[in-house]
Amino acid sequence: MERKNSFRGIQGAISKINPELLRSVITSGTAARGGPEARSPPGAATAFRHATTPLPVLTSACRSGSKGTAPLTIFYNGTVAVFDLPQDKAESILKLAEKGNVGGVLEAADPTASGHEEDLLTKLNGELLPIARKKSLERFFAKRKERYAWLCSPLLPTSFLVLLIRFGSSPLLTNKYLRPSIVLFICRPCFSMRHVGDDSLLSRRRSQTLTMSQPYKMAEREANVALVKETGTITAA
Amino acid sequence: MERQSLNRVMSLGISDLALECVMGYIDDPRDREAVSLVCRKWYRIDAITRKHITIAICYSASPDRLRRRFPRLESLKLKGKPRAAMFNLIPEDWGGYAGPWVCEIADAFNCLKAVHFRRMIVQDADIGVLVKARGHMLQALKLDKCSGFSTDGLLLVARSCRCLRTLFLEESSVTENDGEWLHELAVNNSVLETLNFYMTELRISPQELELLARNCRSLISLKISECDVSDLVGFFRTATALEEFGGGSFNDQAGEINRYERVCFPPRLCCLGLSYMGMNEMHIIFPFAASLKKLDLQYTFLSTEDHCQLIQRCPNLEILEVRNVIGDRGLEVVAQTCKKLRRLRIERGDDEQGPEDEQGRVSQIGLSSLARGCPELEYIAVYVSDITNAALESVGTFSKNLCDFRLVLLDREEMITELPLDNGVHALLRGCTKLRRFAFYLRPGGLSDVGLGYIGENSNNIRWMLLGNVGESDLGLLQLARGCPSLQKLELRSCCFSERALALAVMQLPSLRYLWVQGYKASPTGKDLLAMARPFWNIEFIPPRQDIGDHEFEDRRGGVESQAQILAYYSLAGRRTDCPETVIPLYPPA
Repeated sequence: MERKNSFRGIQGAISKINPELLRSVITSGTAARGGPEARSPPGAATAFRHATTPLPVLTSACRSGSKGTAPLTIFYNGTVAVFDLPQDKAESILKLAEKGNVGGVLEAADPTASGHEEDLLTKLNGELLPIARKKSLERFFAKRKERYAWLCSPLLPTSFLVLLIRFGSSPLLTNKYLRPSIVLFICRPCFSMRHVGDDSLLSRRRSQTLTMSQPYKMAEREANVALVKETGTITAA
Repeated sequence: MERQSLNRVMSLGISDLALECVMGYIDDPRDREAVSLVCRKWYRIDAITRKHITIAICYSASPDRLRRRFPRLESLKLKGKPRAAMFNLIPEDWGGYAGPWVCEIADAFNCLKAVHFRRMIVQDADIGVLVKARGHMLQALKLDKCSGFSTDGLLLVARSCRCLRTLFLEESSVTENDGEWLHELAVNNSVLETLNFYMTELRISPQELELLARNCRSLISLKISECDVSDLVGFFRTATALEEFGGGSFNDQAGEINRYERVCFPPRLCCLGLSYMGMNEMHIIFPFAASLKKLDLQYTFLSTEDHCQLIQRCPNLEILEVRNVIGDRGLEVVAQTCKKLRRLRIERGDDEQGPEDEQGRVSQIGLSSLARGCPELEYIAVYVSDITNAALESVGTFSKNLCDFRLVLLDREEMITELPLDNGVHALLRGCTKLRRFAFYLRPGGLSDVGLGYIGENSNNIRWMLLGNVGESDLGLLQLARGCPSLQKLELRSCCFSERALALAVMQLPSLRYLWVQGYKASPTGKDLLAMARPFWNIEFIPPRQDIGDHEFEDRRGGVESQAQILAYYSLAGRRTDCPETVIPLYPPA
């Protein structure tokens, strides 16, 4: 699963999704709930015509994230992607999906298109190049990931984890950056670490830690490396 | 008749010998260029007294031509691949072969003592030819971001170049056959001052380094590949003259405490860059932090807070290189502490580290405090997450010594506080009159055509420019091209300009001798580009690629498309004869 939490990433994914499928998922979800928000019968395209009204999927009973975001789940071709999006973003994605279906291929920017957002989106789809990364730094980040992957290796003894849990009052755990990492380590055994050292490591971890909204963001923080180093001093303390 | 009296007047009765002596003191290449244009005699004397030449792109002249003009050259620097190669944008086999140059050097350059190849392809055979002919005199050999050679070539250098004072291999791709070369170097050389194989994958043993330190008492700079710092205790004890160290690595094993406590750095050390250093090891720098002049934290595992803790102990810092994890808070510390700071580089952190960490981003706040706090700054390169016009105005107001300014606006934030940056860039360029290099990489809407016009009007001394995602239309580019009187090298990326506008701009810019473009409105046949066809102007087209190439640490997925590129440059060497398949030279029909 590709990491998609950047705006451009979202755009890239959405533009490839079959809008028919998208629409049917959303309207079937609406029908299933059958609540007051359901405004149209299943299968109809009318859900999209009420573009200004809140879409059912966004006001569902699921948890909402910080800053008024809610999950948008997209099923496509056997894959599933979950995004935490604010309402306006989700609406623009759905608008684009509809446009894509009606107009065929998403073209490069029409300069008179209304809204900075649509402009930006279509330009992102068309001409923009990602900011190039320097070779030396890419190598460094890859090596850092490798090091971290080793630290998370299933080969690391579980007694190591016990050590972490025992010293709950250690200064480590009072450090707000390190604490979540310890939670992560404790939950570590439930991860499958087959593909360490590439992007899928992070995305897989994220999909498995959806219930822990904070720690996965800390997953790759340098603090983690410090954590492991710090454990060397616990026994001496 | 008139010409003869002019010559006589120009020479003012100074003999050729005297002229040679005087010219020997003139080193600046622009002065030399002016001197060589005065008259034929001065041209000749400049030619035989010129000590150093830099050829910015190796295909702009032939080795033969260089020899005919500057037969007594002592130092040569050649650059091959375009700068974009540092960002994985140029095919590995694009070119830049050192072979033909090495042959000429071996044949004819009898005074050559220093050779520097940058971003070129150098093979072991080339090194062999070079050291066989010039090894006895070679004092400096720099294979800088090069590829194509192995440790066998290094072995040849180590055995044949006993007067070598500088061996520089930073970021080169070297095939590892064995580690003998370092041993040979340590054994055969006693005058080495600078050894640099930083950012390479060469494997060495600490014992060889210690041997080197014992034999080369003048070693002042060592930058190495990965080698645990705790194994270098012996080396640091022996290399008492060392002033600069970079590289190494830290590998804290769980349960092993105080692994790095024994590390004691040489007394004169003032330039430092330790790879993979984390917050637990940071304190080993504290004893001499106050004497640090140069600090490289780009490849460390330090957090924002760690940066603050470390930098506040370094009041004498002149050069600082970090990633944007330093944050605005760290920059505030820099502004308060490092009053002598001349060069600051803030590189881009890894996306996966989480832009959610609010401290690990640099914005207008940090940039403003920096400008106010560090008036000596000559070089600023920064990847910002947010920016305002006011911050750029601050730079223009306070950073009066600025020669090199590079700003990249990262693409992670959707909303930027203030765009476009027309007024800010205007104020910056008007204020920083010494600016020679300028990079401005934004996003659509970041700079309008008016802003491009401002850049054109206010860049009198700028020689190199990189512009990304700027302007709204071709008009902007043409307005830029009406100004920029000194612009020699222009790089454009991800802009909306048409081929026709590019061609027109090229014809208009008076000093332009090099152009690189990626991301533009390509025409179906590319024929609009030929509007810039002219004598001595080589145009190369690199068509879009599917696979960028073989990169061991490539994070991106395979099959990523790379957009087409245009490379154009003045050349006295005629058409390239060694283009690979990925490069298509464009020439008008004869």
